[in-house]
Amino acid sequence: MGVPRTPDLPPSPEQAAFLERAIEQYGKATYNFAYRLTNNEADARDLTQDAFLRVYRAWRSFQPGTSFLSWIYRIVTNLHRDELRRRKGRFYEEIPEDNAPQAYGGQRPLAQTPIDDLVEGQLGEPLSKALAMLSSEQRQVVILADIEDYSYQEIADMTECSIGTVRSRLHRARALLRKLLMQAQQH
Amino acid sequence: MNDHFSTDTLIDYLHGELDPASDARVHQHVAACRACAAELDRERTLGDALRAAAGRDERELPAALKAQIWAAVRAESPRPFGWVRSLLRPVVAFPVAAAAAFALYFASPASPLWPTHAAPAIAASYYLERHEAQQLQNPLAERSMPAPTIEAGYEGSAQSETADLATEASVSPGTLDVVR
Repeated sequence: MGVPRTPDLPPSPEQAAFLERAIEQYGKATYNFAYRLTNNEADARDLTQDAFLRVYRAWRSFQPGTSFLSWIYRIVTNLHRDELRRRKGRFYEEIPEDNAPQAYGGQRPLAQTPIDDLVEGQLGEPLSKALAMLSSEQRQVVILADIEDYSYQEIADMTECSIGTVRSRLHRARALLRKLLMQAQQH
Repeated sequence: MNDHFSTDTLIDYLHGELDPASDARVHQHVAACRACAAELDRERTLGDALRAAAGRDERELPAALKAQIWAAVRAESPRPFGWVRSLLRPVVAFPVAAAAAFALYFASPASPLWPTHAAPAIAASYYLERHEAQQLQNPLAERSMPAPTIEAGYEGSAQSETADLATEASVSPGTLDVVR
């Protein structure tokens, strides 16, 4: 694989410089985010390419001082959602809002879970597999909340849904991950 | 203590998404409740494991992908003088060329719309008479014209006429109006 030649610059030098800098600073993070979303290298490449093409087209709409990563992550999630809809031809149902803290009635059993038994290195592979088994929306929220450390409000803005939906998706995703890890441990 | 907080609430607490009052209650409860503290610790471990797995699986941006991005950008960008090339497309070039051809034709003298003006008819005698008069005024004319017929006894008139011409020729500068 050779070094790519210097590309012919588009008409606007500022636009080209903006894109060059964006790829240099955020290309790796964007690609990894796309890969975690799609769990597929070819799809991750296409998603990353399309996202930076959008960045190039809409470079003037980026507001200096705001988070570029949040901006491009939003672009990636929108593109990913559109692609899924195009492929599957159906819309995902919105999860009902459930944003009230709830008290657990009764005693909580001190149940052992696979997470207790597994050290960090052992959890990696089953966890990656379990993550891949989540729905796209659930995986999206887990990645943004637990890996990228975004707030619920930021995630709601990026994914264009309510905070209650973000909260519910994250709760269900984590519950499913625990269940899948438990099943993996039992096998 | 019989009341415990749900796992969902503990997840929200872990992510700092509870309102201040609820956050304080959970914080206080977890400090005193082994079960909820253990559940909170499991959720925290799950989050740590997710981040660790992501760090291990992290990939570099492929160089070929960079090239793909720039290739897509180049495919979108208009080429230099693209507006000229766009005019050379047949769908544009043919109508433009036809319009230009029509304009040139109708603007040319060959066009049936070109106004035709008949040359003014001037009698040949006019030229002869005019030319004869000019000859009289210019003794250095190439073509020698026959001297006008002078009636006998009127020799002085020709000379005086010539003298008049000479007088006219030698005009004193002082008599001229100088336009500055």
